[in-house]
Amino acid sequence: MHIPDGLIDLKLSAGLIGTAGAAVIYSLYKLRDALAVSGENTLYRMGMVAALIFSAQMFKFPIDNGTSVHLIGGALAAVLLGPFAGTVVISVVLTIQMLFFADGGVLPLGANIVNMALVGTILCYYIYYAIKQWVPEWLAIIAASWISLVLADFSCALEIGLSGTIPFGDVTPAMVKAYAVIGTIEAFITVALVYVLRSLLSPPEGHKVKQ
Amino acid sequence: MKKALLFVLAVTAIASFFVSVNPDGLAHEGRISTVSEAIAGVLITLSVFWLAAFMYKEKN
Repeated sequence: MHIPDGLIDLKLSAGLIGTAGAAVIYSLYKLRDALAVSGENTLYRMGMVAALIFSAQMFKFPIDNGTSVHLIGGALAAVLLGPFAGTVVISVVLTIQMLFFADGGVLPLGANIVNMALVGTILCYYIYYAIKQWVPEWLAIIAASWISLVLADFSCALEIGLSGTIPFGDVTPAMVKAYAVIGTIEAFITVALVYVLRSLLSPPEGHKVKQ
Repeated sequence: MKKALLFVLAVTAIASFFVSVNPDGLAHEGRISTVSEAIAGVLITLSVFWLAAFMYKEKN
């Protein structure tokens, strides 16, 4: 899902960079609330989750049209850290991948953040939060993870299609089908990781993270 | 926190092994090995947040 350079129209890239920048700045602003409650412990937790997501995103599978599908980890970040800290985590991971490992282009960084951090994390959190009112939490995590992953993928396909580099009708079915399958795998992995990491990263008494 | 770090390192080891035996088939000219990439990426990612935590602690 990491869009490389040359696949997205320049004007669209600029607009998505602006959108992603605004979202990250707002998320950093909201992160102050969590820092006020848990202090630097929040940042250590974010670091652990970010490192885990970096590793998880290495599980890649090639599909047509010169791209690949992989685990994203947006649901994991959203459920464990909340929507805004989760967005910062995914954005930092994407930026490191772009800067140090040529994973994703420079100009499409905004598009990648919009797809994986905004749709894959913030939207995922609110889907999870809404579904959790009606079903057990584990089921809400599975549903939110799968829905947000497919939506993030559709957003990616839409950006590529709108840019005209690959016809929308060609790129969308291949990516959505692939992510519908990998989304199921990610959903179950996310549930397992959420419960494991909650036990490993449990904050000290009286230091609950404010969402 | 130490247990979480060990867990992250274990996942990184599994991920790097998986990628080394199942390359994604895409063209990555001049890229470093997947194992090095995994270790370096995790260290850089942890460093960013731990540096931020250190700076936050010093500031407050």
